[in-house]
Amino acid sequence: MDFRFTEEQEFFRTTVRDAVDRLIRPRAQQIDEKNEFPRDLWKQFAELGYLGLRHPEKYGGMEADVITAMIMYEELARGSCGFAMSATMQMLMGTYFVGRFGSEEIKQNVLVPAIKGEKIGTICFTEDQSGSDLAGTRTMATQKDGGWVLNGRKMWATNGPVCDFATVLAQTDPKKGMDGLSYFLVEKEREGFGRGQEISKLGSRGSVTGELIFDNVWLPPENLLGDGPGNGVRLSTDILNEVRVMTALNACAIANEAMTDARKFAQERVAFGKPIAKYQLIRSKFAEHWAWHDAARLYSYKAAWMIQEGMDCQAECMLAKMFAAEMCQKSVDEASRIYGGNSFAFEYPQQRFLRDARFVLYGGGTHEVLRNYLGATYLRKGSGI
Amino acid sequence: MNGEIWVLTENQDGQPTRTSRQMQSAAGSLAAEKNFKALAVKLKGEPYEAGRHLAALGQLIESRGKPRAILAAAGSSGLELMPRLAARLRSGYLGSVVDLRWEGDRLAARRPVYGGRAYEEVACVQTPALVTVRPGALSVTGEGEPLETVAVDAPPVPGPAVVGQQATAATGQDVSEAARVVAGGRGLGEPENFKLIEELADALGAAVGASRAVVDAGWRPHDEQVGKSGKTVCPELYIACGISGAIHHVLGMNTAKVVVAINNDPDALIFQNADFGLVGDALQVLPALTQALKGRD
Amino acid sequence: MGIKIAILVKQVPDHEAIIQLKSATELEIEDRWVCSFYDEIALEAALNIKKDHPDTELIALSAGGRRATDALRRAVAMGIDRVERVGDDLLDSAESLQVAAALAARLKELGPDLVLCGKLAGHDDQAAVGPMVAEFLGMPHASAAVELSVDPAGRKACAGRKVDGGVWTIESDLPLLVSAEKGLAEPHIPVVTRVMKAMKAKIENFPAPAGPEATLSRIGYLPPPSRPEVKMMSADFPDNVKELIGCLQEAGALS
Repeated sequence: MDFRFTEEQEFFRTTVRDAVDRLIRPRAQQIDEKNEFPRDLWKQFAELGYLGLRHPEKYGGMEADVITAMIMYEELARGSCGFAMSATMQMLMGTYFVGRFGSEEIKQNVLVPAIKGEKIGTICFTEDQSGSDLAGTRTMATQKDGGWVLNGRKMWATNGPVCDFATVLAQTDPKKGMDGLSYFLVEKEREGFGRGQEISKLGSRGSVTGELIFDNVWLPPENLLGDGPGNGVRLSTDILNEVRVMTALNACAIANEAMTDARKFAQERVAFGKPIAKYQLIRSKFAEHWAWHDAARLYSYKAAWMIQEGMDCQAECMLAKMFAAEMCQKSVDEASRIYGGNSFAFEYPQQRFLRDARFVLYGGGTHEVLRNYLGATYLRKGSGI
Repeated sequence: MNGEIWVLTENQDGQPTRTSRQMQSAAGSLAAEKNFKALAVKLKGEPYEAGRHLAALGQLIESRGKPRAILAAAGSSGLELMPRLAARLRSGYLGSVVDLRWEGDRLAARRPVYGGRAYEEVACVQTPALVTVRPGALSVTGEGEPLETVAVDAPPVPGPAVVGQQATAATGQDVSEAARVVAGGRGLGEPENFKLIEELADALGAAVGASRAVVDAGWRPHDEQVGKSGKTVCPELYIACGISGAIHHVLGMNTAKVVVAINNDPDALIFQNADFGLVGDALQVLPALTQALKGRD
Repeated sequence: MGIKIAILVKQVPDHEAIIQLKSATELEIEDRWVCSFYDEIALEAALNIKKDHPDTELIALSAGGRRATDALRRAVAMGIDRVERVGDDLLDSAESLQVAAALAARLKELGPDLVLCGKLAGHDDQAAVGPMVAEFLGMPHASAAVELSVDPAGRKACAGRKVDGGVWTIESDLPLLVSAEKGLAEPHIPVVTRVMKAMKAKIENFPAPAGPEATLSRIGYLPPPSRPEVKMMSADFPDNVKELIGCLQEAGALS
């Protein structure tokens, strides 16, 4: 077992970290405070070419493998969650189905400009009444005039307010439940496409999120992504695996940033005559974080490796995300306690870590749903060890 | 090899610079310990140009023999000459040293590494030891007699030519040569407030220094920057106003003899690297300090 | 007829890496390494020259083992296609003279018209390899350049050297070695296509011939100087100013 990253992966990480430190990190607080999509930064970041991370070179992509992509996601989140959320949507979920199942024409019209950052994408799962429960999807797609008509409202679309195209999960046959779901590409130019409310979020501010409305949007047949209707859930396994591991690494990144910042603070802050770093109860927090964070990170990269190896790893990805997200809540909590009263001030970054950390509890599935599924799986199959 | 230690002496306004005086004093002490002779060497010919001055030094070595050591200030000329000469002679080069002593028969130096995050003690095993000394770092120990001075002509040699000289320092002294420095940072609020720094510097006969933040913000020229990617200074007195005390600034001035920090924030890091601290508004304190100092005369 | 530029680069601890004494003779350096800040400026300056003179040939060199490979990968990511590693791990801990000799041996074979490097690396901070390489190659050098322009047809270069209190302009025939100071160029952030190229780069290694004997011997390490606890002025304004002057007088700082 070799637990090391390769030289190339280390080099990639160092290079990306340098780019994030120079371009994104200095803007992190401002992005959070202004809560506006940072178009100028998006453009500069796009020019570096990272948006096509997982896509084929012929469309301007990098053809990076899963682990390399995960390194990117982790490093981005360390700089700014607000920016990372928009960028990863573009790199992963927002362009995944278009890239994998779109026709050549669709790829030229949508994927190529997306990789350049010229067209912004999003994916729409969640609705008013359904989140983790995909079968509860009420956005309908009905066949008409050789194509499809889409009706419904999707919430929580990251990049929704600024998107140029969206991948939408819709129900083609309510009687079939999960087996009736399919993904559709909707370009903003389509008649009936509308934007609803923008959601003012607790964290990842700067990544604008909102409602998308589909009012009798007619779509040509090629806008149904993937073979035949009803394949949506089946095609989702891979992407959901990746999204979960990405979320897990987001969680690790947030926890790491919070504790690294707290570490500096603990070394400088003096109480009762010595830096608080000398006190046992403060030291204990770092020791706990170290163990749990590194374990979460190892788990996440193992899950990433399993995806890369094409192994069946749905459970591992869920477990990694669950473990990392819970670890993250603990670490940001403890980091803010190290700051004491100062963590209550907007002036310091601890409040941002606390807020950004909440999202990882829901992204990739709420833990209540995951625990139910995982517990049932464990009882049925065991853990495989 | 002769029993000599040479000090490349530079003048400013007709007088040896502070660093030259310090090096002469150190050379005198080191020479005395080993019954060597310390010699001040003045390379003539303005402006400095590596080719001609290296040739001149070579001539001196030819006529007097190789010395035990040559000391030069770690300024723009010393830093060019000494390493190059070391390569020519295949002898030891000790750069930007802050202390010199004998380790047995070898000349040993203490010098900063990794940007000043640590210091190494290193001895020269191939003579002559070619040394550049951080300006201001050595102390003038006692009033030794001035060293015998040898002036060396440096006729032009074929090679690069200096075709232009442009002064960029704002006013007054070079911050790395000055015995006293008053430095300002972002805590001053506005670029105009640097006037208060200049006035205090004037009252103290000090040079003006600046933190990286205000240089990057365009308030002050790069020549005044103290700290990483600026200058490392060793003055007798360093007064830091409105400077938070981030490590990169600190590494640029923490070898100063006496450090005063003036800052509004009682928790500012700079206080951990100062001898004396005053919590207050620089805009109030600076004029009062200037006034009080002027009043003493 | 285009010129050939060689750029010397070195991998050093990140300027924020924590460095502490492990013992009196050993340092503990946090495992964060980057291409030297000044070397990156040299790389960018070389790329700028190529922008003005497209037929310029660029080669980056680094001396050492794994660290040198990392520095060269960075050079590729920055835009240099041809990179060469000189020597092996032994050079990672060798002194400037030995590193300079190794680099000069390879440079003699390459015959560059211009050699660029950072004014110092951020390692032992000797700032010596540049001038030493110039000496071994028998070419003049201009250090701490903040301006540089090249005339390939006339085989001349013009460098603005940052000196104490000013900038001096030097004119020289080629070949010339120039060391870069902050301000000579602004290193860009590498684009991903170059990053991928760097990740896959196969870097040729040129063994270094036996070099000069060591001229220095390290005795040990010391931590940076620390001060006794600060004496804070306790009076209110304006009495604290008087208090401060009193302290300075006592410390002999005002005489």
